[in-house]
Amino acid sequence: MTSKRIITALTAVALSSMLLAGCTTTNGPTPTPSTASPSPTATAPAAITGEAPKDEDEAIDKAKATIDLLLATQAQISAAGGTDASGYEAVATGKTLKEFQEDALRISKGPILNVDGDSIEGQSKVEGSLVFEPKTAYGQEYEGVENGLVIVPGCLDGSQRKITTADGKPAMANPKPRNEVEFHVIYNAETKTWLVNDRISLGTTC
Amino acid sequence: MATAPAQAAGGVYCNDLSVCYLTISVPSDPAPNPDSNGWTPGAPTCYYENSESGLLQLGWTADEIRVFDGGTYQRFYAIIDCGSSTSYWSNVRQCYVFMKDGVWPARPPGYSPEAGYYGCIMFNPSPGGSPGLGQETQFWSETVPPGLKVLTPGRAAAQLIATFQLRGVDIGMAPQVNPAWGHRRSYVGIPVWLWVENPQPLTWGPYTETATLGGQTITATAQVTGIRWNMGDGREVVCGSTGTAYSVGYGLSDSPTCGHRYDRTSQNQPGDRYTVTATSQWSVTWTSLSGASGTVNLTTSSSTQLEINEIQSVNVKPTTPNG
Repeated sequence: MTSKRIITALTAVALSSMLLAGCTTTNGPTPTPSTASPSPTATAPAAITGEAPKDEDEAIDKAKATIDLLLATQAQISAAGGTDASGYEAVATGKTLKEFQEDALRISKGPILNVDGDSIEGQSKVEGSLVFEPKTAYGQEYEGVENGLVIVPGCLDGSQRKITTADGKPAMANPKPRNEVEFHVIYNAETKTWLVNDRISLGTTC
Repeated sequence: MATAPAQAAGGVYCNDLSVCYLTISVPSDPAPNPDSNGWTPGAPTCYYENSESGLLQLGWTADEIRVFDGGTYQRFYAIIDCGSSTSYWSNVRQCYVFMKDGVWPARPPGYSPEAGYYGCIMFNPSPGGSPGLGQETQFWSETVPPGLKVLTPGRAAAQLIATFQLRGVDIGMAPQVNPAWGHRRSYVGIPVWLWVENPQPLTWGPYTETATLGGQTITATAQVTGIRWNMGDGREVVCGSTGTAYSVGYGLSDSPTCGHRYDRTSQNQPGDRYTVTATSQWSVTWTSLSGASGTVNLTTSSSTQLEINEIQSVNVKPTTPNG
């Protein structure tokens, strides 16, 4: 693969664009509030489970709770150093699972740009969590399940997630910490579990 | 594997071994900068993400594959056909996006009537792309997704309505135009009758057109809901109907539907004439095949001149509202 063009990204840019926006829902059941102080040790989160949704309202409640749980899980995993990302598997799948696992890897090993713009290898410290403010939500059929996919547009606020790089300096902050995103939450009929499977960045701030 | 350089300028990164790299993030859609998609300046480029082996297996060559190197992980992208103005690839959604045909579901709370309903369909990946296969999802968006040249129902309706040749009413009035004088003349205290002369679809309605614009089939119907008569003496009369045409049988009575009496002459007006303006209040309702609907309010106007004199006290010829 030597002829392949290699393009390297700034880690802070990547981090901020991919995961520095996270948020907390205010509606629906919240097994683990994402604004709560995370435990220093990552623990396996309870998944959002149940029978297929009876209607759109139930699906939306479950979807919002799943997003809350994902962000709370991220806060826990990050606070624990990002070394154990297995907790994400109970609450995320597909592209979202991959992105959040990458976030954990970055927290645990770096590199992350510090406030001076230096790329720092090694484990970072993380406090706080992303906050998600849903704007609306709607369901649709997904793999034969009515309302098995819920799309939740809203504002993802990364301003409360504070990262300290391995050199002890604050990480470079995203200058635009509040961004409009669209979470996609699906119902897995086999495992009867709700999972976040996509997060679309809409390219606008909020 | 290249590590992230410490410094950046102008999107080009150079490490201390004099090896430079382009600065990128994961490819985004062109908006808000229509000249760049986050990877390459200039015309937007469409990228399909897959594993490296997946892309090779699907037919792309190594030279065609782009790598996003996140430092601790990599992502692999291949350039694909962006599609057309009615079905365009979205880098962030990784699917071809198109405006949905047919009846749309109820708009979720939080979206304005301008929002559109779009489909997002995965494709049978190959270097050329093949939209139309695979799982489809749908989403609402306030803005038309990048690359699409479609109109939301509201925009399409506005464009259709803008083509309507609506015009002001043909003014019916007693007094009528006196051929000898070449204008209308009446007197202080004499009833002035106001009506719409020969109402037509383009002056009173209903006027209906159907057209397909930007992928939306819109039917719009225009109808006047009322006329605001500015009598030129500082007063206005609002009438919700076409009014009643005067005939001599009515004598000196007031119009039962729409009329006015002047209490001073027009001698202080330019040219000794009051300008009477009839402003039509149009309500244009539209519906689209998607189920969206709305109302647009418009006005048109027309005017006429009217001389108002005082009746002299001696040997006055009997008069009527018709002058």
